[in-house]
Amino acid sequence: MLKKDLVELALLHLLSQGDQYGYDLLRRLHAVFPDTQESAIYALLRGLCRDGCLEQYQGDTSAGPARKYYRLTDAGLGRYGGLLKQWRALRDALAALGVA
Amino acid sequence: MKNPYLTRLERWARWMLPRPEAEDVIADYRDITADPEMLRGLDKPRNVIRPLAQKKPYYIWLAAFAVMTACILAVGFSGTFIGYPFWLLLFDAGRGGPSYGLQVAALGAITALVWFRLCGRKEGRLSRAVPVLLGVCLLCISGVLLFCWACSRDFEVFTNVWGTMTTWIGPNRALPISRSFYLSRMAMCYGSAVLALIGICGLVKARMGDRRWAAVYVLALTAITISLLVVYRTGYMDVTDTNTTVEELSRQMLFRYSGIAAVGLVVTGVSLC
Repeated sequence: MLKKDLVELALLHLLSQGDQYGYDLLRRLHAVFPDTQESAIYALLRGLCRDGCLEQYQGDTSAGPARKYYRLTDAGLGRYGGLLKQWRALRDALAALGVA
Repeated sequence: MKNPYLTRLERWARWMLPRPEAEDVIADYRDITADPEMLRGLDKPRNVIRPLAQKKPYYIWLAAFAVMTACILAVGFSGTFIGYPFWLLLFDAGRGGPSYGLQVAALGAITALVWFRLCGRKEGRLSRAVPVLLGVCLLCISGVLLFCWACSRDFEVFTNVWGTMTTWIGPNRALPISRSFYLSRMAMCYGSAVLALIGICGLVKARMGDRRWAAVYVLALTAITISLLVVYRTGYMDVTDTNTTVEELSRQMLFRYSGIAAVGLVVTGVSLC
């Protein structure tokens, strides 16, 4: 499992908890992975959209430009489940080796 | 005031990404760049957009842009000193025979029409620069057709305007020409090069903004083609044949090139719709 997959897992996890505003997603992920460029995280987000794992929609706003929100699709949920399984297997393997 | 980083990012996004995706990315980055802390950590706009661009659609766009640019540059600059190899290739290949400049121009115009109808997007009100540049192209087309009309009425009119030069044109170099006739042909040659640059600006603007800018490219290409076909044909007017006169040959040119101008105007109109 590469770091890219970990960032992707974190991104899908945040979205599994509810629809998110693009800027908020990036800010929260950048706080957890400070050495990863925002543009790299954003490219992951767009890649997931392109693959049909996420979809975008226009949120309601009372003032200012309409905000774009992201939500998880069924394909995205499947991908999240797959990555979570990989992550747990890796965590268990490391624990078996005694890695704290 | 608009953030300069966002302005550069918008340009790169509209150049590298398909239009709907570019707009989504710009909308997201409008919020991201509003946060000074996030803005500080951002990479150069080009590096931000590059990973978002899918290779296949981007390379297809670059190929289409290369075809359209090559068509207008090859035809437009063929009348100038530096474009002489293209002149031989596109216009003078048969030494008075058929020329291929028209086919190359048609390829460019059709590519632009199809590409921007399929992948371009209209953007509210049309920029005021578009009608101005279309007006310049129309003025050039009118000037060239007026030149053909003047030749068809009385070829001597050119001699009367500014005297004869000590040079001749035509297959047997039998036709003495005047300074005004020579300078008109020169203006058509070098004016075409300027129109080619205007056409390329139209292409870039059509990709990055309103697709109706493609009309500037189409009409510039029409003006260039007519100008250089006239330059080419007037260089091969055979006046040694007693059955045809310069006026008669010019009438044929006027009729033929008015048709090309009409087709160009129709394609321009379609690009504007």
